Amino acid sequence: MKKLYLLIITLCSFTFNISHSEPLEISITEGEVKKTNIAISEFYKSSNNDKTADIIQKINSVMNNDLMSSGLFQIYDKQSFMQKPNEMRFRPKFADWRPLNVEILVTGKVIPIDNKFKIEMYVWDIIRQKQIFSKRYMIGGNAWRRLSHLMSDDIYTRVTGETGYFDSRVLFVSEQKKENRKLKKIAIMDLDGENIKYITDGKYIALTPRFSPDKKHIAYMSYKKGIPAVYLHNIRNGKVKFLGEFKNMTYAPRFSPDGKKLIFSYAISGRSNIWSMDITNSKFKQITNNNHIDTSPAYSPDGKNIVFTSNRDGSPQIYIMNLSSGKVKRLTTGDGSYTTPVVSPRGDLIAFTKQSNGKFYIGVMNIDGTGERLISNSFLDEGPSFAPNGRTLIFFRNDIELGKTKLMSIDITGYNLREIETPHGASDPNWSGLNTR
Amino acid sequence: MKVKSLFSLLLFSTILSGCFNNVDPLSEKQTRLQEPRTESGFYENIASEVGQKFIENVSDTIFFEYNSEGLTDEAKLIIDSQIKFIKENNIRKIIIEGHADERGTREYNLALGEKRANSVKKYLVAKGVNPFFIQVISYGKERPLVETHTESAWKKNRRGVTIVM
Repeated sequence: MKKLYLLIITLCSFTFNISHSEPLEISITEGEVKKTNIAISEFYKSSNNDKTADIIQKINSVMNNDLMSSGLFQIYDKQSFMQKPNEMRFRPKFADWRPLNVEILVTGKVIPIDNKFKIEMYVWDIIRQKQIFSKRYMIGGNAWRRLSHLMSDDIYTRVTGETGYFDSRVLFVSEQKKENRKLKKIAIMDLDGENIKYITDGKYIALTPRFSPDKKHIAYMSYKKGIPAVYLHNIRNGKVKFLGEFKNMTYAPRFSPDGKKLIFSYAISGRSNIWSMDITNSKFKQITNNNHIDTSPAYSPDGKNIVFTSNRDGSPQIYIMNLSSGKVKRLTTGDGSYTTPVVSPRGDLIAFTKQSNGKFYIGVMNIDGTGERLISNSFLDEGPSFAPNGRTLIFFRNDIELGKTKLMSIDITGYNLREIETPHGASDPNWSGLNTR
Repeated sequence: MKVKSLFSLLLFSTILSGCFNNVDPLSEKQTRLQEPRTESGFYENIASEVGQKFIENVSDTIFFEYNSEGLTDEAKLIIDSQIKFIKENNIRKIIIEGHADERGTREYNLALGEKRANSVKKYLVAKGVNPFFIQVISYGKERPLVETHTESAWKKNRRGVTIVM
């Protein structure tokens, strides 16, 4: 498949000025994108029953919302549509859509069969007047939401040439205010904020949830036993495993790319070092050994390196360590401090939190520490996590005017900053990999 | 024979329940530790008269400089008075909380809080308090004393809180 609709991304104001004599000036990179014009018609219903009509509407609304949220599509309002679903059940009249500057038209059919639905989607190239692709799906009545995300993913993938990510989930810490305190619970939801489930009950503070690569487990830190410790939680059966008998605080957990190991910080007498645990045999291994703070470890996707934060040279900076040689290299040298590094799924970029001159920034740089670009800033922006396709980041922002922490997403180019709405305050987002299909 | 085996079963279950009884006080103590405290710290000194007396007689909170776990002279004076109380009242359970302001990332601040609590612990131990009586716990930036976003709030939130039981 040729990438007919290559999106043109231009980076504007790509500057990062450092002057030694004058105060530091930091500019934020903002990407710009030429959006693809897309019209998503409600699917044609082959029989007149309410349930079918209901599902058609829901699917349409989720798909519109998904594709719009990516920032790569201009969505058309159905009021402007020239043809009704039943007029297009075989083939749209391209000439009717051309004047609207629609580039891509999505049509479809929903056919109820017993308690299930057969759904057909057709994606049309209005300019070249032909079908780009069509796909058939069979779902149970309750699977419409997930199917809508899958269809959005299919469109996104064919149009942009990159893997879609709408069928993914986000772990986060829900921060609900209650009598001068904040209940901090681990929660999970779909990327669009739907289907929220709470994994811990808020009785104890729980923080920093992370998905295992297969998404069956999560690791998080909780104050359940008084001393904060890392726990492994099986999402399916709700079973919780205490990581191990540590006398002191264990925190900042992350899984290895193969899901077999957990890496985390262990604090003893004011020294925080990085340790790993083999989940299969519960064996521990100390990875760093110094008198300072080494924390926020994260693996590279090949599992060969870890990046982490350390204050061993004074202020917090980002370091990379080769796990077989044990060699450590400092990556950040700019003004301010650098924390919470995470490596992109492609292994080429590191996203991080930067603190400088009383502000917090989310930034990205190359895996060797060069090419730093800051893409967001506010009073407090923290903790980026990559989308499964590496194109977008999710992080959290403390909006002090609203008195609320909230989840934000932004493309790595600095484009399309938007809030992901949650019922209460939210922090520490962690983006899942894609579901297995 | 039957009576004997019944007897040994009874004996066994008594031992077993004895074991569970041994477990219970521990977990009870652990649940008790979770009770919220609305003042500077988080643990509540429930049913601890001495804990109440401690708060009334000495200052339980010391403050730290930005991104530092060093004890200021002022902090040392306060801890000296805490030590005097601890020794005079023969205190055998001490919890030290370390806290950070919001000007840092969550995980880094957990580490910083732990460093701060340990600074206090080391000072106590150097002055003769038994290290086995002391438990440190870091709350990072999760439990600010003051919820506003100003320099003076951050100053109050960078703290170490001593709790005696």
